Amino acid sequence: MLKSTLNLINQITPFEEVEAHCDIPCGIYDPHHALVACLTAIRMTDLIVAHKNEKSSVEWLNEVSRYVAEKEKHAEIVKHEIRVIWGDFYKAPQFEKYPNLHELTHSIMLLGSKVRQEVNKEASLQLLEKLNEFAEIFWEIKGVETYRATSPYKPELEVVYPKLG
Amino acid sequence: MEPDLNDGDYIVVLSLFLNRLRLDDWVVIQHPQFGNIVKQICGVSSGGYKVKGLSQYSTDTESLGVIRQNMILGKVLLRIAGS
Repeated sequence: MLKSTLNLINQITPFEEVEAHCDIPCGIYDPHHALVACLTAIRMTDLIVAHKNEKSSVEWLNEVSRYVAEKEKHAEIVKHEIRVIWGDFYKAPQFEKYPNLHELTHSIMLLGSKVRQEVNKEASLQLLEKLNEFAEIFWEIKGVETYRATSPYKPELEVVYPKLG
Repeated sequence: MEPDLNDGDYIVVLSLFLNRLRLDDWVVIQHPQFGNIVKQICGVSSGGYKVKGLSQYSTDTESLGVIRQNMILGKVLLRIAGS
């Protein structure tokens, strides 16, 4: 009741707005960054697994440490990018139209953490699929058609792209 | 200020008694760089207050700089979810 009254008053006589965060409201949102970061995390997982049976050495340690660090970093990028779109771009009408958005976003958060914590190819592939679903919804909301194509670089997996031009 | 304050939420702000601000108070600030923003007081320094956002992605306290008394427009009394 209070909310709807405030919403009504706000429509008639808009309240003064303040920003609760300091992001510049540029309006630029794109799930592609998350998808590329996910591909990187998958690639790092593949590289770590490929080094599984090698004998430990300083060089081995250096390489694997770098792969792990990049996997950590890019899984976190996935989570950050999706959080921003979910928190800043999606509004009530989208949540009404796509009621699975909260659950989808939450599953991305959980899988992102799993990919960070473990060397788990299956989880990373599940994460990519969830991100593809997320990207399809995002572009549908923007009124942009999408298609799925294999990324032209390793790990050469299917990714959602917007059909532009 | 997510998750405590989300896009579209309403806040009720008191513009009086601003000389009685305390730690953890939420304040609306007219910031020369970031415009009108809401932040939480996290410290007092010479010449003003230190403030922080609650989101991990908020601009950090150092970048927000010292908030002088005359930059504070009001104290947040109440939050109401907007959606």
